[in-house]
Amino acid sequence: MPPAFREEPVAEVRDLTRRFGDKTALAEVSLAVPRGVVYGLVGANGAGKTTLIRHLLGLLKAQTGAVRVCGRVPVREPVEVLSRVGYLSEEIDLPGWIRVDELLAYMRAFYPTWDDAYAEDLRQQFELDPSAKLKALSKGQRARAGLIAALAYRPELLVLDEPSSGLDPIVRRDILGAIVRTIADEGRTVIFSSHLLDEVERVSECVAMLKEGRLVFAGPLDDVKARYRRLTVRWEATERPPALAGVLGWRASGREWTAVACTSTEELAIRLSAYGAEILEQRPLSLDEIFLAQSAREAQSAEA
Amino acid sequence: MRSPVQALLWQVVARHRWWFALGGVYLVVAAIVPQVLSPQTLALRVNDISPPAVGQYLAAGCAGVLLHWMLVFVAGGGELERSALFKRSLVLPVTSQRLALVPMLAGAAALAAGWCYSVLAVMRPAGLTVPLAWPAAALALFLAVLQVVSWLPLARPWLRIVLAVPLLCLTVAAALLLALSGLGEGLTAGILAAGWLAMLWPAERAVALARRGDTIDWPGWQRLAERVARLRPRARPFRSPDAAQLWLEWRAHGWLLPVAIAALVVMMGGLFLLADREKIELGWRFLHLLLVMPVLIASTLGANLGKQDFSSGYELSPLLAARPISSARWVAAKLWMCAASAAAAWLLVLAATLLLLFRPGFQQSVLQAIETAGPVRSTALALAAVGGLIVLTWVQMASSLWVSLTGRAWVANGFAFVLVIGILSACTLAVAFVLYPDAKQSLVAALPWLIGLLLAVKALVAAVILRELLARGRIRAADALRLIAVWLAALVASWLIGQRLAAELGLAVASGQLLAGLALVIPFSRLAGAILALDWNRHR
Amino acid sequence: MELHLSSQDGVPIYLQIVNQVKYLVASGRLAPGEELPPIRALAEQLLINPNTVARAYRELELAGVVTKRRTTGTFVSAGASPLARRERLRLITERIDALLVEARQMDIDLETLLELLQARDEALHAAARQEK
Repeated sequence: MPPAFREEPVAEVRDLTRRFGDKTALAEVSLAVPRGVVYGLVGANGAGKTTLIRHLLGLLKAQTGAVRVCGRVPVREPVEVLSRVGYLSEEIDLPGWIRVDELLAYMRAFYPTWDDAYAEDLRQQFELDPSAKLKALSKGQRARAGLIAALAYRPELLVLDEPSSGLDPIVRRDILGAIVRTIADEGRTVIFSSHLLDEVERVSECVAMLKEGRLVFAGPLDDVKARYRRLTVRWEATERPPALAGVLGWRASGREWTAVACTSTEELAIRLSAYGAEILEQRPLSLDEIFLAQSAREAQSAEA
Repeated sequence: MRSPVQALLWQVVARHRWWFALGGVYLVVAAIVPQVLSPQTLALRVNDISPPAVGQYLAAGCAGVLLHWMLVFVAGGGELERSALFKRSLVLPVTSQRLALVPMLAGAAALAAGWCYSVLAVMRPAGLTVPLAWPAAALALFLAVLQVVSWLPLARPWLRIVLAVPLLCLTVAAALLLALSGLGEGLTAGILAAGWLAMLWPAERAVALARRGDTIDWPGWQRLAERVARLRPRARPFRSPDAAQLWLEWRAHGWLLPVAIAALVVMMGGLFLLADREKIELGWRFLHLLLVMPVLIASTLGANLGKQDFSSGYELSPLLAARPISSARWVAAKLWMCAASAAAAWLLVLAATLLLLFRPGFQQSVLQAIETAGPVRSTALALAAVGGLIVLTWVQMASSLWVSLTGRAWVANGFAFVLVIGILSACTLAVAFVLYPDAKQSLVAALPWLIGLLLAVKALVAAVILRELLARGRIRAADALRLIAVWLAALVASWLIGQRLAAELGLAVASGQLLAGLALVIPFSRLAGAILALDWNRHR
Repeated sequence: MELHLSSQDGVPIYLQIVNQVKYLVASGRLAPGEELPPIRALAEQLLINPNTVARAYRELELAGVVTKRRTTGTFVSAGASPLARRERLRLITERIDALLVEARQMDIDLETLLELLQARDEALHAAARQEK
């Protein structure tokens, strides 16, 4: 079922700009997260994903621009917003001295929608010993404990900031499973930022890419994948093929050159034939390859 | 950096350079002061047996500087759970010998040199006759023992304290015994220096152990701890988010004060028990110390209470920052935690006081004191004193919350820096007023204006904070009024009690002055400002 | 039902599911009337978005490979055989294309290829008869 665009988006950011000293972390970023989707956020380290997520949680104030989550401004009404949001960050910052059952009892007190049975179910599934202190657990187990704490009250919006970083594949599967189960419930949304693009590709319906604080693309994953193609072109001359708008970087292999294109192929075919080049083949790209093409230094034009 | 030795030294010293600068400035000033003052002022004494006042004050400052140097050269920066030595330095391509030797040698040299400078340039010109050689060697030995105990990779952090305290006491006792035994200064210093040399081998062993990653532990202990942890009942659900947050604050911070008091009581009690049973006034001294300890320790702990954990940094972790609890309620939970902490600490103190009554002769002394003062009056005074001290303990903890709640290390460090400079200046001013009575007179005349100005500033700051809180929507108007009402009630109550006390004790204090003084002292902006500080921390 | 998803070649995930289900039905591993896993269960098993699974099932339903019964679930269509045959032919055609390209690269002409095919077919029949 396509996302319900007619409803108000569960999270919305308009012309958000954020500077830390001289460095611009976000530059006029605008995106809207519809309700009921998995929204993937990708970008290189330092591209601004964590900064954007912190704005959504009210941990950072918007210097210019507006942020709305669940219809409210997070900085103005932190309690209303945070009681509907579940958050798992990449640093597992839970205090070491706390026990698993104490952690869950502590979290439970803040959320009226906490489901005891569901929390217990997850704890047994993750095989967490309730009387174990967190510092005695491995990193993956601590991540699982944090995951239960973020899931058990079935938040409207689940925000995961690179949750899988540094974790073994089994924990990553648990996290993906949690995302899938969350989204299967009606009306719940997941915002998920990760470096592991194959994971993002599997579960996301919409995806946004940030590069040095700017939004490169944002929208349904199918649209993004439909736009990007890898072209193989026959080009006889010795110098590089012409730099055209919508083509990201040429690479040579013999008499053939390949490039990633993000505009319509027919138009490109016409323009290329004017130079005497011919498109031999075009094939779709995985999100990983799209990301690499967009991040590459020779990217000649990036269109949102 | 031209050599590994230089790099190691830099690693130890670089973090503290501002404090070193402050210490250096103090030492220079302290050397100048005795040269500048006249001999009569230098010879001023509080009473006939105590040393000259100016000399004492200067010596205390020098002791503080040397103590800071001692702490720096322990070269801490590692974890409490393993060795305290910088974790990174354990993997440097230098031998363990050199890794241990550099801080030890540098520390011993710095302390010995610092002591010699303090004695020759500050204390002796100020009229204090202090020995030179053996305290320098004793300081070096003390530092060496402290370093060895800190660098040992112990699996249980509390074990370090259990080891450190007796060893350090033993060192001090040995040094004092040697000095008093009449062996002569040179020989005493020589023996202590030999003791320092003997510490080189254990230090190298400790560093080598830490590098290998070994820890000194007993496997049985881990199993015992796990079994004990399992015995604890399963966590019960909390009634409300405030109760849950209060529980977290207690587990993170609240236990610190009572445990510190307990440890100190045990240590001091032990020394006290060994002391002469006949001297009654030792009992009173101990009682005074017991009553003062919670307040002193509370003021040192206060700076940590706004952090997430005792050992964590100032930044708020995302776990806590994303809790749906308002900043006002969170600060309220912290204040309740301070109250519970103070109550627990004072329960321990009162229990220790009760034990004190079992000392022979002390009971009679107490009963005598009660009789001379009258039973009703003495109970009232005792209650007022203890009550006041409990409240003071709470105030010390609560009013420094805002510093660590800002979540910025520069605020906390800057505040500590300013505080130290403030205390030094206040002491200097006090001494100056003792020496120059004319200045004191003009100050007394200007006092009402000064207090009025301070009160106006305080009211302004409070108004600004309240307005900001209301504008951000963190508190409602009703809450603001409630805060002001509580403060006024506290002011009036303490004023009435203060007047009564002054009448009982026969002090001549004008009620207007008392009111103004209390209004200045009772914290408002610091408590309301804590909410603003937390807000500033959570929404950067 | 064993499905294998790959994110390398850029083919959309729902399309991979559709193709693989078609293949399973065509090769007989999914019998007519057999039930496909519910959307949520398959999504959890493969760790993909349930909406993707729903979309794949919709495509399969449009193509007539499966039928969705409102309360009970999704089942393989009974009348799947003509589609199965079309599907099987398509798969064989792909193999033949690959074979022809390789033969051309190795410079083996069509006549030799046909002779080889007949010879191998006879050898296969001989081996089957010997086993009996």
